[in-house]
Amino acid sequence: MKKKFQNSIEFLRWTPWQVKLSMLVMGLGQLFCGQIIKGLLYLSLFGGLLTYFIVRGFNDLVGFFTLGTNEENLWLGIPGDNSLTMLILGLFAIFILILTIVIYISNVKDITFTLREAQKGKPVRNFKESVKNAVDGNFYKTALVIPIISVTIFSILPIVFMIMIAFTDLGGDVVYPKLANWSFSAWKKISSLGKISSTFIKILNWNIIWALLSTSINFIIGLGMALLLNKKNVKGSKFWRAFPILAYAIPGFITMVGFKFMFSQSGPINYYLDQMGMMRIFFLTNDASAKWWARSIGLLVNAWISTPSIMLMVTGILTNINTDLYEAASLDGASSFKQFRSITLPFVIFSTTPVLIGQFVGNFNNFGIFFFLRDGVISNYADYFLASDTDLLINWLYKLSVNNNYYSIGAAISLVIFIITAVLSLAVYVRSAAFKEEDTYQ
Amino acid sequence: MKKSISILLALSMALSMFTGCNSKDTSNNVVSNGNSMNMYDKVMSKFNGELEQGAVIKVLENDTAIELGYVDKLINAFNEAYKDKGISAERMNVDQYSDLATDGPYGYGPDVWYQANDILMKYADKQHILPLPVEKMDIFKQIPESAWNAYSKKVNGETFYCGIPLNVQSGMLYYIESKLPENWKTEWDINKNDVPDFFETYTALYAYSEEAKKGGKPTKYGYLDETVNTYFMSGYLMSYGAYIFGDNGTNPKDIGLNKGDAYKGAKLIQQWAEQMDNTEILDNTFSSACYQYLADGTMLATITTPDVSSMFIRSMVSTGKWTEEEAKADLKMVSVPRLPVSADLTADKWQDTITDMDKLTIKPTMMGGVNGYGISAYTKIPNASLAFVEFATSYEQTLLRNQMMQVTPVREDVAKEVAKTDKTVGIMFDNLDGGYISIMPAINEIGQIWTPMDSFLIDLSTDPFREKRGEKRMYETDEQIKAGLDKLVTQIRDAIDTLS
Repeated sequence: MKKKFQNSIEFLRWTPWQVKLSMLVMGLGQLFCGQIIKGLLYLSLFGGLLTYFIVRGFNDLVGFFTLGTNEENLWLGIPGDNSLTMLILGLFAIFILILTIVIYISNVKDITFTLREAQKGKPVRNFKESVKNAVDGNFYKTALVIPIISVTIFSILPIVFMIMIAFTDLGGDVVYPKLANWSFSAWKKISSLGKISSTFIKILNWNIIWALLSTSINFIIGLGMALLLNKKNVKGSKFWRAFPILAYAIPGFITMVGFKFMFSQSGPINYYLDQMGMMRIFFLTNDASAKWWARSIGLLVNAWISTPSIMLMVTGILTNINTDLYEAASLDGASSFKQFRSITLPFVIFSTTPVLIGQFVGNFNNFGIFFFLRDGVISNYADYFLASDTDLLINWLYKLSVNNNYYSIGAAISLVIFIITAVLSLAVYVRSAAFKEEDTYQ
Repeated sequence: MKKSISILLALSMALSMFTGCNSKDTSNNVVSNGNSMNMYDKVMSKFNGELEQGAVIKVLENDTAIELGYVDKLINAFNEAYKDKGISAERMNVDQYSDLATDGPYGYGPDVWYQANDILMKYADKQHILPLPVEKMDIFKQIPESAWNAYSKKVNGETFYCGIPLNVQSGMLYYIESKLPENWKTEWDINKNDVPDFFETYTALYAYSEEAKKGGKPTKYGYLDETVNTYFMSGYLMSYGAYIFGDNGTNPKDIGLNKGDAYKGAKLIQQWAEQMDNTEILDNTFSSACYQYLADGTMLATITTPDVSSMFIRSMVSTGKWTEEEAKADLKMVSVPRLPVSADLTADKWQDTITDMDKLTIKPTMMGGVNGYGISAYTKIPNASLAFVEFATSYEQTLLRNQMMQVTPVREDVAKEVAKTDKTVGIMFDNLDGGYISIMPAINEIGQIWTPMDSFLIDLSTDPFREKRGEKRMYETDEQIKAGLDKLVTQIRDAIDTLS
């Protein structure tokens, strides 16, 4: 820290007047060094950014912290502030501020570089040479500018916006035109309010079990089908392969609605049970006995929808395994199971680990299954808060945030989901062969 | 250096969390503005009667009304009537459940919106719907106070009406006349009033349903219904003293679903579920199956709203046994039967409940809603919009709407006219006027009652089946039902406290 400070003092002592000019007004130093076009570009950027901050940027920055001070009256037509808009525009202003700082530093670095080169007796670069350097010598930087800007606008900004909402009291009664405040209320409610926190723990536990079970079931069935249909002694494998693909091609929600009807109280399964003189089963009804029925049906429906894609992927991977390996293993006396365990399985797992992580994250956030199968009930017998015992965090999040407009709690739960899935995915990935032995199979 | 910047930013953020609180200026807000003397005039000043020349009013209407062609007729009639006055209207082709709070500020919302009172008033609560100068209109005296109350909002002691009610919806008992037992006039009309006794009291309906279950009747079941539906079932609780929110549905702190003898109503629901002995009533899929069940003779009667009569007619025609005209004549709607005072469907002899009706039975209260027109607070053409609403709620248009859609008007003059030929309209209007339709509260907190109440009803109705499976009943004694209702109220209160 001290060293950095000394360096800065030293830099300021050294700085020629052109650098000082560029530090004061971007581009001026470059103009005086004869770099007219570059100087004008920096100058126009400086002018544009300054105008933005004077006209609205500064107010937006202030608005980001206050989230509005005047409440709008729609009945009387008196205009006021909109907290949500102020949050978005404030975030945008912060990003522009960061961009301004980056441009300012590049401006100072540029003029410093030019003058140091001049001190060494080298000629000052003209615009054409600077552009050539940018697309040639510093191409890695130039090429990254557009992706960085687009990632910032389309990925980082919305994520930061969601994170920010988790720290406000937006939602419930606090919706436009009411003004919001920065607040930890959503986190307090999640962590301390008895009902919400106990429901959260129960749902989280089931969510993890669901994600692990559904990913494993889908993988095992998909792998099994691929191996089976890959066997040379299976007749008409192309014909049989068409059936899972058909299940895959039908839109998921139609499948889910179909299964819901099949297992409903008036559906065919209960009808035949009734006809056989047996008791109707509460498959999806809101009853304690339905808990594991409904969960199992969820796993079944998810497998029905997802296994064909795993099967197709594994079928592709299987064709890449060198058949010599099997031949060698057979000569060494390895049984079929041994060959599967030592050749097929490691190869398939190695190739599919990243996909499996994607499947895990997808299943963790699998909204549709229980939304279609079992919606609109809360499990009274197990004391859930606005949730049923089959709901995943994402379903609960939907009920809280969309049904009840509780945006801040929704954002806080989203953040928790994001952290859990990110940590688990990364932990699995860095321990996987696909990451550790990346070059092995290349 | 990086650390210093991080600390500075974190500090400023943390500081704003404390300083931000209570720093909001809400002086613009009507609720907090103490100058209530001029408030009404200030709010109403935008309705000065000067039609905005060239204005095109965007009207968001009900899907069924569009489908049946009423909306096009209404708009054409309005455009014809106002062609010389420089304004016109057009239908919006968007979902009828528009989110005015998000669409309105950016100009995508409607100017005039037809919706149920609870939806319009939810938006009026946050000022997205304008109060209207209804007291000055001729229609004001034509509509019962209970219908106006559904659109009223008190601000600083002054009453504002944020919409004009048009028609009322509530549960009615549907049946097909030709499916009545042949002997009903001799065996089931002991008071000789030409109305089957089993449609007059629930005790008689229960007795008939028991007989139907034994076989030998034109239908397999007597009365079959979705006993897990909050909208229709809450009426049984309300008939025995319960209410949703206190102060005429405006006080969310006072949740009254466990008040009075509400447990008696809950017991009655459970008794029906046991009698019906059909697990299909535990699913909300029953509501879509009920049309077919009535048409194919599975059940004699069920309760739902009058606006779905076309669905029953469609199902009847699909069986091939009726033409559309025959189906319309054969499908009947009557008022919901009277409930036993004791709430026990087997305590009295059904014949006694007919001969001694006033002593042994009470008139049921059903939950209902009042649909009407509201004007968006984001409209740039309030006077033209008001002109459209006045036109659409006029005598002629209300009558036409009834003729095309079979909805019950809340205008007394239209209701009287229609009641001459359609008894249903008269019954519904009288129920509304007499306070037997409990209008759904129009406050935001109403959104928190559905899931807990649906779940309570599912548990209640599942109980008889639990017993058959050798499982323990959840609600066996009166105390257990009372505890269940208390828990229901706690759940709703928790949801309101947490999510508001």
